[in-house]
Amino acid sequence: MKIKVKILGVLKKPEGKSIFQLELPDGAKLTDIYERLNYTKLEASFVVPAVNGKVKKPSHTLSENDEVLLSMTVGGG
Amino acid sequence: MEKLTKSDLDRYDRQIIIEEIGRQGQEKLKNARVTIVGAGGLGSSVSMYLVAAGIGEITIIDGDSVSLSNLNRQILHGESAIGKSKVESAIRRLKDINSDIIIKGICDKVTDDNVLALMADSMAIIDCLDNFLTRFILNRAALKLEIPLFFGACYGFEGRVSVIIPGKTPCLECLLKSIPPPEKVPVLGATPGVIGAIQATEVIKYFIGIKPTLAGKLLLYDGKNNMYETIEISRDPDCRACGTSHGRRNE
Repeated sequence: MKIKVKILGVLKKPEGKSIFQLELPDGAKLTDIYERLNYTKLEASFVVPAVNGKVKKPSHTLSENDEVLLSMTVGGG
Repeated sequence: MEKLTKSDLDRYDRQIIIEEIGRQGQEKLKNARVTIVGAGGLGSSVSMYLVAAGIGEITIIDGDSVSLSNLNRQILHGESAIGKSKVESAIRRLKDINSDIIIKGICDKVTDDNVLALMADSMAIIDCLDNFLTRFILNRAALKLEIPLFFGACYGFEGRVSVIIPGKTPCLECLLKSIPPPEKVPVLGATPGVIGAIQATEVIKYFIGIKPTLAGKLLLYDGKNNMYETIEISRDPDCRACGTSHGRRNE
């Protein structure tokens, strides 16, 4: 299935691209995207993932044509 | 309810002529009491806009002193304040902006032990902190006291804003499950300027009776690419702060 991915800000991007499409097997989860992006376990733990505009848990199962937005937890003031 | 004076009508004229505010809205701002936690980058922007807007009583809390490395972003403070307490410096600047309102300062750190006493009289808490541990203390105090919490945070060109209304929206701990380890956070000075101005706008909307747009949502700002995204947050039934499975509140 095709998934549209958008990465905001300083979060690691494949070849510097902030918007791209991924081909994932049916039943893939958000964590499968992290794996494709080579995020370490530590990096992945600070990602705030949203699917179709709603924050989801990393274990969320994706559907065809989902739009995934990844951003990082930030805390400075 | 305290009424507007002749001087108020003059000072806030440009605000009062906004249809959604009017004299009634300005009077609501005059009768509002808020606590701003942090007199750094976010606290600079938030406090100056809320003081200028005529919030009746503002308490600003910070336990630190001003240093040279603060000055790229903490525009409340200038070179003459280096070495002085941030609260003292903030009060001097804020009173110069508006001497008609009550401005209080507390030079202390917010802890589990003092948070409830510090926030008890407040009608809104504005999170202008630079660390997650104290943010979570504020979040739990807001839930306990049923006071709205206006969250803001920055990193480099990036910022985040959310509004937590106890009993109505998810809380901060529903959203933030894992927090990055403490580090020296990079911050472009203009980023907390943008984020603090958005927090201040949400606070004003709350008091004049417009539902804060970011209640239950998270604004993601990327100044490098001038991108703004808003995403919805869901309440986590297993949340350690507000989750029903932990014997906490249920809407």
